[in-house]
Amino acid sequence: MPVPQPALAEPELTEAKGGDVDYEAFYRSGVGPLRRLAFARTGDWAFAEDLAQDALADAFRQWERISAYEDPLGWARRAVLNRSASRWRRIASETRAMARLGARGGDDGAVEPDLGDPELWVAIRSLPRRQQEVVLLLWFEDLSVDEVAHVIGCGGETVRTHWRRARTRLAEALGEIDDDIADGGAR
Amino acid sequence: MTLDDRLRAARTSYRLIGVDETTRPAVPPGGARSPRRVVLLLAAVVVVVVAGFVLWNDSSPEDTVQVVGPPELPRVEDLTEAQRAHLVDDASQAPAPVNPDIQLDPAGPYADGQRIAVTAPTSMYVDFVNGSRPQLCSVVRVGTGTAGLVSCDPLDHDPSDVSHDVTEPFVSVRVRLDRRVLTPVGERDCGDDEVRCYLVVDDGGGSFHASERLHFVGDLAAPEIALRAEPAAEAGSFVLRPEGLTVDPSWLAMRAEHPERADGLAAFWVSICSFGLGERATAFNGEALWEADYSGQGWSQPLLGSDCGGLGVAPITIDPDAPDAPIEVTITGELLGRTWIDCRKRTCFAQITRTTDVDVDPEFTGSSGEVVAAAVIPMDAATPLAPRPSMRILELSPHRQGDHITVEVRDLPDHIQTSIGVCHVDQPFNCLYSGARPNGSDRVTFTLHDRVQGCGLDDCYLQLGNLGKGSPPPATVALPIVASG
Repeated sequence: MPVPQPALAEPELTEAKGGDVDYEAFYRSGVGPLRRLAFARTGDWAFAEDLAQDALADAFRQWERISAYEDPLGWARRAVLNRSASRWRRIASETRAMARLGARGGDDGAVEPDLGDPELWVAIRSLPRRQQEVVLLLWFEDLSVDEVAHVIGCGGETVRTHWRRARTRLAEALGEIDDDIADGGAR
Repeated sequence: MTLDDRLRAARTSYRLIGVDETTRPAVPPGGARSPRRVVLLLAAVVVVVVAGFVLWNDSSPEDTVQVVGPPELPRVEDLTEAQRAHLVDDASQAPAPVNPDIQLDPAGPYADGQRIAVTAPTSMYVDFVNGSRPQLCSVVRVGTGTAGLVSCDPLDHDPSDVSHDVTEPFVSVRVRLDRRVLTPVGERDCGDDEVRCYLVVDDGGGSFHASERLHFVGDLAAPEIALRAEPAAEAGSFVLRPEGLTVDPSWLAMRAEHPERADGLAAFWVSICSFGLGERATAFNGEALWEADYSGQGWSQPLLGSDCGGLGVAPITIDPDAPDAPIEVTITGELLGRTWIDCRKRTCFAQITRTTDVDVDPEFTGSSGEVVAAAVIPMDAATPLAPRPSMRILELSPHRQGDHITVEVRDLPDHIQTSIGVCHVDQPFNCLYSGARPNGSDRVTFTLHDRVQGCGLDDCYLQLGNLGKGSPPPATVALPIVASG
C-alpha cells in the first residue's frame, strides 16, 4: 500500500494569502476528522491514517484547484470514503487470507481508539455504501443535509431517504424499535 | 435502550477520537503553489444530456430560432451578435487539443444513446468523482468558409459510474452519447458531416483535453418531446411551446397518494442557460474573489460548458395537468449562474427538466431529474435589461461593532428576497447573514454583530446572499471596521 512520505521540511509560513499557509491550515483542521471518518468506516486505525494521509496528499497535489472549492474538506471526505470503499475491499480480502494462514497483521504499536458499542458499529459497517456514508457524515460528523449531499454527490432528498432507510436497517439489525423515526440528524 | 440512545452514545465516543492529531502535513520541499480562487463546477443544474429534442417540425413558424428540417449551414452574416460569440475560425479543429490519452471504450462509431466509458489519466488531475464532468462539444460549420460555432454541455453521470482505483493512473466514467446536440443555431446531429463532436474533459484549472472526433452510425430516432421558443411581443419575452411533454408516472403516483407533497416537488422545472461562460463577477477591493483568468489555456473561447442561472428571470412553472400549454417567459435582467449571463451577448437556451424516480416513504420524498427538451431562446441585442443589483451603506465609514448601519439595495428583482451577509475576504463562503431581507430597491437597518470582530479597514464586506451554490454574490460593498472606543 503506497503511503505518502512525511515532509522533509516544515512548510514555510508566510504572510501571503493562499499557498502553504492555506494548505497547512487545511491539513491541521482536516487530518483528525478524516482519520476518524476513515476509522469509523473501516475499523482499522492504522489503515485509517493511510486513508487520511492519502487524501491529504492528493489534496496537496491538486491544492491549486481544491483550495478554490467551496468546501475543500468535503472533497477530502469524499476522497476518504471513495478510497475506503475501493481499498477496504482489498484489505478485507487480504485480512481474511492472512487469517486462513494463521498469520497476524503487523502491529505498529498504535493504540486503537474505542468507538464503543461494537454491535452497533458492525451494523453500521454492514449498511449499503451510500447509507453508511450518510450515517457517518450526517450523524457522526454532524454535517447538514446539504453538506452531505455535496460530499456524496446527490440531492438533499436522497440523503434524507438514505438516512431513513439506514435507520430502519439499523433498527432491524439490532433488534431495536426505532421509536424516533423523525429525521434525527437530518437537518 | 433505543436506537437513538445507542447512536447518541456512539456519537459521543466517536467525537472523542482523532481530535489531537499532530502529524505533519505531507508538503514536499519547495512548498505549494499559490492557489487560484477559481470557482469550479459546483452548480449542478444540468442533470442529464438532452434525451429528446424537436428536429423536424413542419409547423414551426419562420420566426422561431430553432433550426428545423434537414440542417442547412447558416451564413456567418446571418448570425446574431449572441451567436457570433461562439464563432471560431477553423471548424475542422477540435474545440480543445486532442489528447490521445483520452480513451473511449468501445471505440466508435457509435449508435445514438450508446453508453461508453471515458478514461483519462489522473495525472491530468481530471476528477470525475468531485466535479469534473466530460462534456459533449460540437463544432458546427457555418457558411462556406472555415468558420464554425462551438458549444459544449456537460454529460451527467451517476457517481457509481465512476471507476477510480487509486493504484491505477487512470479514472473512468460511463456516459451516454446522444447524437442530438443543441447548438447556438438550434439542434444539430453529430452524425452530420458538418457537425464535428468530441468529448472534452477539463482539469478544473483551465486546461481542456479533447477526445478524437466522435463518429456515429445508424438512424436517428424521431424525438418524442419537442420544444420551440418563439418571440413574444414584449422585448425580452418569448413563448415556450412544448409538445409531447408528459409527467413521470412516479410523480403522478406521489401526487395521488400525498397531494401535499406535490407542492414542494414540481413535476418539471425550467432553466435558462447560456452556452459558454460570460463575465466573471465580483471583485473586492481590487482582489478577485471569483477569478476570470482563462488566459494560457490556449483557446480563445471559454469552454466550461453551459451555465444556468436565475435572478434576471422569474421562476418558470409548467402545469402538470397541461404540460403542453404555452409558457410566456420574460428575461428582465442578466442571469446569475456561475457567472453573469447576458443573453443578448451569448446565446441562451431554455431547458425543461422532468422530475423522475419519485420515491415516497413516510418521511421523505426522493427524486431524480432528466432534461427532456431544450430550445435556443430568441433575444434581441437591443433588449433593455435592468441593471445589476447594487448596494451601499448610507452611514459614513468606518464602522464599529455594535453600530447600526443602513444599507440601500437597488434593483433587486421583485421575485428575489435575500439577506445581507457580513463576510471576511479570507472566508468568502462563511458569511454571517442578518435577518434583514431587502426587496426590490429597499433600505434595511441592522446591527453589526460579533462577526465583524477581526475585521479591519479593508478585509470585510457586505454581500447580498448567494442565489445558489457556486454563484458569486450579486452585489458586495466594502465594510471598513475600526476598534470600538
